[in-house]
Amino acid sequence: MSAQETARSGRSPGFWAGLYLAVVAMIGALKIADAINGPTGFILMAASCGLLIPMVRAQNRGDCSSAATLAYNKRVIASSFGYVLGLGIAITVWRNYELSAPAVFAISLLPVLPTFGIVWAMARYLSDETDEYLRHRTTMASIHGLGLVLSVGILWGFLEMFELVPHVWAWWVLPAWAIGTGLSNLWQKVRGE
Amino acid sequence: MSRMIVAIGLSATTILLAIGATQGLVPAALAETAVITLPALAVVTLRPAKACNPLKAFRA
Repeated sequence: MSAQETARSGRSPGFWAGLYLAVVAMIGALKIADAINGPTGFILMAASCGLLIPMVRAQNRGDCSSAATLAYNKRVIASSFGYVLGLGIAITVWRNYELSAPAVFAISLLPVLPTFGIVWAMARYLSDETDEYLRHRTTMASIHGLGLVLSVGILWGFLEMFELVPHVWAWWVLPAWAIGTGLSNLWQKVRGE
Repeated sequence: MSRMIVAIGLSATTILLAIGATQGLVPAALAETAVITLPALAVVTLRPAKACNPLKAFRA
């Protein structure tokens, strides 16, 4: 893209993604150095999520994205905000207060429910998408992601049972699924499927 | 494509950091910072495909 085209259409998605990661890295460094406390760090993290909005808008620029994709992006961004806020509140409350088991259960749901939103957004996308080719690609990517989760999960589970590997928090399944989905998207793109 | 590769790498790194945190090998603050970026990474890795040039796609 030429400089003139960039100026006309705004920054690229890569710019906003890089800026977001740089901001998060700085906040993380400040937290590790104890320059800011936990709640401040989470508030800054939540604010930095605002950079995802121009990133997604830049991704949607042009006429390539379907209506279902645009709706999907809005739902995922909303869920992401909820997740960051929920996780920040949950960790802050859990660290600073003596809570009963039901209260801990309740705050545990704060980051969980927005994550369900991401899963729901993906399911809703598959039902909303009218383009059969795009729906096929996303379905195949989801199945490949699920395959990765099942394969790694069964392997890790038995290795853990025989005390070869450490215990891992079970939320790993969602990022692992996302990794598998992303790899599948890359594979399909490279092969021109 | 490069954004997708970076997001996949960072997602995998986040899982490794979480394992490191449970073992006390990694500061908890670092693992928390990584975990909080997961949905942002998912925005990239779970992004549905686009068909800017359907003819090219179907030619394959």
